[in-house]
Amino acid sequence: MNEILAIESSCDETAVATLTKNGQVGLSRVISQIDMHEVFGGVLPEAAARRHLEALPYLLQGVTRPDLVCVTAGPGLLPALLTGVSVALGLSHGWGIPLLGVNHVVAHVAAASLEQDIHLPVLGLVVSGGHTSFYFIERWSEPKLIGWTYDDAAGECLDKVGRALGMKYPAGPAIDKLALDISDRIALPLPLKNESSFNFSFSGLKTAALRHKDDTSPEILAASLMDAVVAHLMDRVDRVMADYHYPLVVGGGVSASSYLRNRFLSKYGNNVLFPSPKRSTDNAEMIAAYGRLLLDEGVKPSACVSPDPNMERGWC
Amino acid sequence: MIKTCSAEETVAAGFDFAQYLHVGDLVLLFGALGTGKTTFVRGIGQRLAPGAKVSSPSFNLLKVYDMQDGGKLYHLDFYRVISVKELWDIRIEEFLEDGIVLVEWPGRFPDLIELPHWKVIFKLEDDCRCIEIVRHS
Repeated sequence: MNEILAIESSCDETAVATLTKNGQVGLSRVISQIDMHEVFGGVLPEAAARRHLEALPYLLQGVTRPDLVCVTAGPGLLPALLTGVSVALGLSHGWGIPLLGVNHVVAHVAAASLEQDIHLPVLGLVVSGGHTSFYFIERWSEPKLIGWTYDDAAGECLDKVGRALGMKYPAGPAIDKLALDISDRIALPLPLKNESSFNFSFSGLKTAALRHKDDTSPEILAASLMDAVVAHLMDRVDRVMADYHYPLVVGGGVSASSYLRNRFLSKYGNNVLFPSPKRSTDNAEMIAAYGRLLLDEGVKPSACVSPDPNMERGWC
Repeated sequence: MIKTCSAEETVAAGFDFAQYLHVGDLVLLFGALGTGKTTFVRGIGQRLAPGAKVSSPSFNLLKVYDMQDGGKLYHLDFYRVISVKELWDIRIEEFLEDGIVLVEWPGRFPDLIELPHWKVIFKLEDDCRCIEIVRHS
């Protein structure tokens, strides 16, 4: 097997990982920019790109020449993607090795392959702060996007309401804990209940939750929102599974939620699998894992990788 | 003033408004969380870039769609952005040369208001939304 170096810089995390010849994770390093949110209350696009650029040489220390470089080519924040792709291009040229640009969202599904064999076809549901997408994957090289969000991503909805309730960014982990600890709920609507597509919509839930800001305790409101987000995801999974009788892999930062995992596992049992929670949030191991799956399918890496903020295909 | 009482009506209002937009237009969308800004943009997308998967750019800050009659539809969202000097790093004036620029949470960049723009204001009123559109040139 090829030795792979992977680089991830699509949003708030800068990450580097390697896969050894026998397919094991060699090193895996992540630096998060979440502290910037705490200090400034937001993200600064160019400063975020600069932070990625400062972090990468540090994270790459001691890395030796692999057989292939994989990098997140999209989707994501353009200046941030550009940083990772530029560094990866430099390494690829410098070392004279091929470069493969991969899709960050599909890589969240591929992350599960580091821990268990994934037999295609599978359904991939990726739930994070920036994405809520359904993929049907018959071949890793040709993932089909079958569902996406019309507005907010699931994690974005949780975070925006959490912030309005006075929680720190990202509010997801705190909301997850409340949903586990508190059993009281208020009723929130089920989005798109009359629409048969596999798509998502979370902004109506956000509006509905914020309407109760003054008449419900923040804890109960947050727990109810988590409940409603999971109910919407499961309603869509039911619709997809009625048409596609395949196992479901769930990845992305929001899928690290214990509450979400409990609900999915109790309903779908052996038909659903998750990467371990530490591999559900943004990391570079999943980028390497996806690269390896693509190579196994015979994909030929090129050297002309460019960042694509709206990337839909699996690789470039 | 337009009143919409469902997401579908908000999409329709955006679709309707989009017929007045041309390359070089800047649209600033004002309104609190959950007042319908992204849903309105979805309607604009349905007319100008049919088939585009319009969704919130809060995390990526920018989404770009190809318009069917040529040019780009730039959808920006400054919900997570804080620095004023960075506006010009984002190159909005370059975007206006080849596209239509839609901006959510523009209040964080007072400089934007100095440019000619459409101002769209969203307010919640009971179970409905009031959408006010004003042109500043």
